[in-house]
Amino acid sequence: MSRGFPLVAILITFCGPALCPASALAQAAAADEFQLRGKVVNSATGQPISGALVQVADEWSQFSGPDGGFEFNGLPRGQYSVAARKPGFFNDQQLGRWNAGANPLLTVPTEGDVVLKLTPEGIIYGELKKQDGEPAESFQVRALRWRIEDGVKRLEMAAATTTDDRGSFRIADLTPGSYYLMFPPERSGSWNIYDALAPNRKEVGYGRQYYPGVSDRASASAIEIRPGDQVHIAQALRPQPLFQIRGIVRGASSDQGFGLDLTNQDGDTVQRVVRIDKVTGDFQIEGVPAGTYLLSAMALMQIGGGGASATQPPSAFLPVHVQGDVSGLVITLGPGITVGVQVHDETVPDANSNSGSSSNNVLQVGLTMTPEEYPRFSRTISAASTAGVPGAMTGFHGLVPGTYRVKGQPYGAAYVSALRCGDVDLLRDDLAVSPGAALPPLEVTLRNDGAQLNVAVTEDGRPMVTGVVVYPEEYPRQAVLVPTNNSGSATVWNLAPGTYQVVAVRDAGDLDFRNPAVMGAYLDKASVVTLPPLGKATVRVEVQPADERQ
Amino acid sequence: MSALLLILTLMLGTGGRRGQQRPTQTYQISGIVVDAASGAVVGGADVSITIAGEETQAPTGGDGRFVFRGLAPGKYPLYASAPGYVRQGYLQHGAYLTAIVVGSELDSQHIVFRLEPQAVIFGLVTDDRAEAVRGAEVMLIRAENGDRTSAPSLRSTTVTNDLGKYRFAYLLPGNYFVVVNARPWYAESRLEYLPAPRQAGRYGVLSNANRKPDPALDVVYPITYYPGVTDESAAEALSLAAGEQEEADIQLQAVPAVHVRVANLPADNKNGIYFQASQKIFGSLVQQLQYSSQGQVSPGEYEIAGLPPGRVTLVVRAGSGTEQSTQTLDANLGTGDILDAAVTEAGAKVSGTVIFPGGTVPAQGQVTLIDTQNGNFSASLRKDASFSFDTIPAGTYRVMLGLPVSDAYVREVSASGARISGRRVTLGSASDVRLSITMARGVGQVTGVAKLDGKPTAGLMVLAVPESGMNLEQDSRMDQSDSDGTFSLGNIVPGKYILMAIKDGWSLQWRRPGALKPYLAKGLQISIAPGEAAKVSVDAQRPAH
Repeated sequence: MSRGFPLVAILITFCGPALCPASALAQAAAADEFQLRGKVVNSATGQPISGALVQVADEWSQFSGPDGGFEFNGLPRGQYSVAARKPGFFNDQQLGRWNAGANPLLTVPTEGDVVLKLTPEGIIYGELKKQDGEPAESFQVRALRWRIEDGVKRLEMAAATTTDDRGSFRIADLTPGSYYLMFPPERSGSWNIYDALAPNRKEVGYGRQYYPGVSDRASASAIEIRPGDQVHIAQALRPQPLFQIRGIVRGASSDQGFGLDLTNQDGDTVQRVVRIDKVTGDFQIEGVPAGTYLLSAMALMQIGGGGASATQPPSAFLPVHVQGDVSGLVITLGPGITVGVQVHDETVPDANSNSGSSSNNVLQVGLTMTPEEYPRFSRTISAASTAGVPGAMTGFHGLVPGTYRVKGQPYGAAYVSALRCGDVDLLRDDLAVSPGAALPPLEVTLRNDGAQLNVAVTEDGRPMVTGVVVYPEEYPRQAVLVPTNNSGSATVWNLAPGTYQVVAVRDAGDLDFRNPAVMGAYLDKASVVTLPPLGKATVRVEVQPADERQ
Repeated sequence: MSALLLILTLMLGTGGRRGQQRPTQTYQISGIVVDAASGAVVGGADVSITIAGEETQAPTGGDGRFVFRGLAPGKYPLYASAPGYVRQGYLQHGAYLTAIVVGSELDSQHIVFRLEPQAVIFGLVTDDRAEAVRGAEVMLIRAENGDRTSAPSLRSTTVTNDLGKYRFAYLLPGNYFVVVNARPWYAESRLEYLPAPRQAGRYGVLSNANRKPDPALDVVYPITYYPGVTDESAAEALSLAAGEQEEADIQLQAVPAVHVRVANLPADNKNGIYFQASQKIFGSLVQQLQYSSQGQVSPGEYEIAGLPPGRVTLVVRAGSGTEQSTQTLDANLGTGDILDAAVTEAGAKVSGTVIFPGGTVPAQGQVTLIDTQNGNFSASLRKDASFSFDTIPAGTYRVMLGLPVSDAYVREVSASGARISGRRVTLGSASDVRLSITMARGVGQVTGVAKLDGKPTAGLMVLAVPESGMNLEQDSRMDQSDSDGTFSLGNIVPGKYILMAIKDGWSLQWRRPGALKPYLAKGLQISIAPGEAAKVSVDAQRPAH
């Protein structure tokens, strides 16, 4: 914890939630003190919740009584944030993302009693068995759910646990939603390496499976968790044949050898045994269930060899589709796939009145390349203009073959006006990277004549706290989602000049807002605004309900 | 055979031995798996042997029988596991087991593998409102003999689930302590001794009392031992027989959190001052504490809030890089205490040099002083073979040297300003201590056969202890005889030893003074020269009563 923390806390309590007008406080005497009474209830059942911690303005605390009731006395007139919490329940702040930090403010004196609702957690529990009916001990169980991260919808891990000696597991603390249960490959992440090849043998084991006992996600059943649900799952794992991958690695020294790693799309290591013949380069990977994997190979180098340059060891990536034993793979280690980066800095000193700041530092841009097939191999570098520096060019090295989404984010008051790789417009399209490809460099153009957009969101004419999507129809990938503040407004700086559709959506945190198919439903009611360079505009939008079809 | 050796062979792999031609004569290992407690056959167990570092499995049928065929002569570690049993090596005792040796005239086909049914400790952790405590850290500590005189060891840790429940399975029979470390979910320990702004606030009407820590929230759970006590001397060990399941529920009691101030710290600290709080369990297991907050009360004075009462070690770090200073304050805390950072426990400034054979100084090395009470202190070896430590508290320490070469050993330690006994140094009141550590190369090895009544016997405890009785803990070597009675003791510091084989010696607390006395006279005296590999035969003794 930092030293700054107590000071910050004090600032909040003085100036933050307790927005007490100084005059009212100065006059506050015994006669001007009020009571705040209320009750904490379970939002699903309406039952009172006892023993919940109720906090007013982060200053006064009380536990709710057996009837869920609380009573604060002697409060001066004013506005207060009031929140309750208890393990096993979520308050609104813990549930939602778009009103985080903005507890509803209560005006004291209140009209009647206050009801604070807590949403009970969801729980998935059960037993995992092996085919023979014996408990599956020490198996991992993961609960997955769809999440939008930076505008991309992905199935992500919400919680994970491990079965005990009876095969039992329990995953609590789940917010309402739809979950998939996934059982990663048995013993994933632990494997043995041997220095000799072995004859083929037939093996069975447990590869990645989803509830209810299927091996692909598309056939998996979602488990709907409503507030307070406790869902029991009894699952027998199905054994699968395990296969072998054989091949040869070229380009590693016979002294040091090489390392191999076979990962699935979740990033789990699936191999159980790796056999390597350092001299010939032959390898054998055992215990691989059917599936699509990424095989990565890397030459091992002497540690602290005293080499002058910190070069990357030779490596290679190879996508492998396994439906039976695989043999005859040839992997040639090398510098790997490289993409250079060129930054064109077209910013003008002090041009941007819409940035609020200017600096003489060299403008840097963060570039991220994410392969759709293996998002865990996403890479980020930062780059700057190297105009006038001969031979200087940064870039991405050792890329995994795949279909890449490329993103640029300037570290400062600027925007990316162009992002290309040869003919491919990366502001709009993916970049295909194939093994052995020689790609032209990524060219990034930065400008600082961006526009400023203010958005005021209302619901029936009242300011609304929610999320706003600023959507350029030509470039859906450049759409941004920003939260509004307590007065329902949001500001976006450094927008590329162009035409935008502006949409406010309730529960926008779950919105796949860079997906044209999803946004289509909202765009009819969008406000359209065209921003010139250095332009400033304000639009008002009425919030739209979340599309039920999503 | 020791388990450490197994790991080594595993790491080295097979080195291409598979490519060599097979011997014409092969052998088998076969036997039956039974429940160690009831003697009943255990069906469906997984039995495995390790062939040249690689594990090969043979599942048993309903009759509990297993067989491995086509084995070349050699030693094979044997393991078994089954649902409801602890995975274990054949005749395993701690880190030692009996490997099965196959070859002509050796019986490797009538093995009875007595598998220990697992014991389980489970329970519920609740708070003072009798509500479940979720996310509490629960530690299982093995007490060697139900008393606290032998060093307890952390066997496992887990976390309570949403019901407040925990479970430790796969336990061998023995005595165990259960210890809980948790924080009340509602705990909030604000700083109490905060400076001016609070008192001189403009909004005086929001009374200062409200800004003080709320006593209902300014609480902690002290480290709590089964059956719900916070005094470790009142902790009760759970004694588990094979296959037994024991419930150990623990209720936590919140107590007021302690606020302490540390005074006389550097006043201007651009890089901040960091505190790390810890408590010791049974005098040796260090448990890090999560305190609530810290803050500067005035220049050079800090408050730390949310600590448990009792003996707490505070490590204070100030500065950064080469300017960094670390200080350890150890105190029995009560609220309102002010610890003075200027007054520290008397300690010694330890420095010295290492003398290497031939004068060649290795590229890297680390000198470590080890004490179970005070912990470990390490210093890196400089190019000129010198080293120096920060201040080290008074106590008796073992001197160890970590080097990239495996056959080096500490031959002699001498000191000025401290007492030396073997390779232990006792630091007292002297403020400057200089150590001189003489290294030598060429550790020895003893292999041989352990016999009982003249016959090579499996599962005997084989122990070599220094004849002088010095450096007993460091220099003694132990093994368990394999199925043909053979054993191997490696990494032996040259010198005189007494070698003993003891039947059922595993419960013997041989590190205790006097425990070995009945056996020493009948032990075998051996002298190991540098680099020597000795071969001996030793007659086993029966346990003394």
